Amino acid sequence: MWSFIHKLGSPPWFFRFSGSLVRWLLPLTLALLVVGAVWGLLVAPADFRQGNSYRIIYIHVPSAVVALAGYYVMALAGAISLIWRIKMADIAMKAAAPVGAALTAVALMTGAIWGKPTWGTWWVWDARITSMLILLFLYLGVVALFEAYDNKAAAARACAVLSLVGTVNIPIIYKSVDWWYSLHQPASIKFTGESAIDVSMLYPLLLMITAFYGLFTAAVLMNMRSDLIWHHRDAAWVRQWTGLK
Amino acid sequence: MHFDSLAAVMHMEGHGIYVWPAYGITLVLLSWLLWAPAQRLRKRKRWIIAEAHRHAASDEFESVPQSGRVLAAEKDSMEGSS
Repeated sequence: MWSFIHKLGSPPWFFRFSGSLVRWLLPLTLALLVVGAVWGLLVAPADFRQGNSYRIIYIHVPSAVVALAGYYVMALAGAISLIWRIKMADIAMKAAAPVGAALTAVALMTGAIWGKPTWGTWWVWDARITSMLILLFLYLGVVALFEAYDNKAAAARACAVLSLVGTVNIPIIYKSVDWWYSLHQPASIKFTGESAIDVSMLYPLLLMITAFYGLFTAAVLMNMRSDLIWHHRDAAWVRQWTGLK
Repeated sequence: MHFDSLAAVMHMEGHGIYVWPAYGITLVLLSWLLWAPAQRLRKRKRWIIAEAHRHAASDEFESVPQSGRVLAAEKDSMEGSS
């Protein structure tokens, strides 16, 4: 286990390992996305109250769940970067930010579209939605901060601090529907106790959540790989990978 | 299958106008998430190969200042696309 963690810090090893991982993860993820979307859109029954508009759940919930989990990944990379000054952690943090931002944007936009037929409005300044908007700004803040500094070591430190401070927002997002009066419905899937969703709707949802986790992992790894070869463009292993002698 | 025709799938009892754009936006953003890093990796690989060839050429025929300037401009654009 420790030797695996140690290897993760080695750019040539990580580049090769992530390349093999992405090669099977990407087709698997795309297949899961297609199956999950077809199941959710065409096969699952309509909701007795919301009708067919509820089918947005199959992209809205997975994108929101993975956007939140992705923030912890980014913050963990930030903490490793601050404590151990591992370059690979900087690259991981930088790679996770745009992916998390895109998933948060998907969650917000699909939520707004779902809100119109369900609540009669595209947007309300409600606790869950506002805290998700703050999450989007945190992700975009990390992206912008990285670009703002010429000194990339200083940029990584600033981004790590911002990521760690922003983790305060994550439990607020999770608990916002319980702590405040909200238009947003409470969680339908529960880890303890019975879920408030029928299995005919739950299975495609779980499939899509798995697919979105796969997509997040593949996209972050692909971002890391493109940064790794750029950082190490003069190294022998990069020249070898490009086919140069 | 919940629907019995393609028209019913598109209409979704009046909710198709919300459901399909939501899936469309998601498809565009998720495609970008995968396309952008793949494209960046290809561009950077090409740049590294081109730079190695330029170095090899300049070693042979002495350095060419103009090509150096072009190289620096390309490198800046590559940094910006990260």
